[in-house]
Amino acid sequence: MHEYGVALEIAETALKNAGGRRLSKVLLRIGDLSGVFAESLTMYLDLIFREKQKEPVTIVAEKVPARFKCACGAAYSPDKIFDPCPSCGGFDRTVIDGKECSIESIEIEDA
Amino acid sequence: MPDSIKISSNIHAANDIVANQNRALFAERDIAVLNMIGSPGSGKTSILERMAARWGASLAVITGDIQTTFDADRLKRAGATAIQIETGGSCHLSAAMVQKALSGMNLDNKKLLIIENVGNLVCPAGFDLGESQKIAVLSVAEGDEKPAKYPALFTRAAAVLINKVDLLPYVKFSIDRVREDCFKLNSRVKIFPLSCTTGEGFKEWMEYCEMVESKKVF
Repeated sequence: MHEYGVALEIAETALKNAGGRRLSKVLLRIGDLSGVFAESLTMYLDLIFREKQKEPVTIVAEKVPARFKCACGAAYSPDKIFDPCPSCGGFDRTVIDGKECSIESIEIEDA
Repeated sequence: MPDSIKISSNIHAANDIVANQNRALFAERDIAVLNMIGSPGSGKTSILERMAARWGASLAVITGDIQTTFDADRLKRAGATAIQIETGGSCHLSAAMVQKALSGMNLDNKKLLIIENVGNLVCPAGFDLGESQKIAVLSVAEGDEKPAKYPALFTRAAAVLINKVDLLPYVKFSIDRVREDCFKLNSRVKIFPLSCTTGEGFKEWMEYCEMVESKKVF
């Protein structure tokens, strides 16, 4: 729902780090539990970059699956968020992975 | 060959920095802060009106809407100290909006601040405002499948207020189902069935708020 605002922030960070050189690629990490829809985010980013420079930017959004750590000690990746711990059947868990919404790296070339 | 630059920057980092500034201010002023999140019409403002009758002007509220000062006006009439944020279109409050609102609010003698977020079950859950706890509000007319459909909020909420329980005879809604789904998402969650019309459940909910206020629960 708010992917456009997130896209603006990513574009600003990427272009600032490119320091005036041509941006060719942006690598993102988007977790299943981040509340950000990767396809919508890349669509907005593509639109924003088209306005900022002539050459297209390749946007790669690496999705990070949810991973929980259960109170019993087991770590597991659920198929669905309501899947219980496969070891003990419980739900007392904390999130290890899946909340990520980060810009990992960019690639730049001489214009 | 292109040059690669490693960035590893959390996209919410800018918001998190301001949220932590808010959190430091709340700690310095010894104020407990609840971020109240629920659908439009779930009864967030009505719950706060009932609380204003107990706390009066010592209850501070920052309330967010896309347009109008209706909610802040209602809460001031109910006796609370209230300030309105009009987001102009944003679907959630950000830490910076709250920081700006705080600069216009006198926090002397305030122990409890409630931030009533923009009515929305989705986006507000993803933005830290510096609060002590998130509180989810769900009214029975919305349906009992909402925690399962919108797990991000219900995973992060310390307490879930099930509002409008006086309407239970007229709608298909199972409190047990909500309880069960919420416990699966967060085994430590507290559930409070409430009715702003009859006052049911407010004793327990306000006792919980007093515990938050006196820092007995975090």
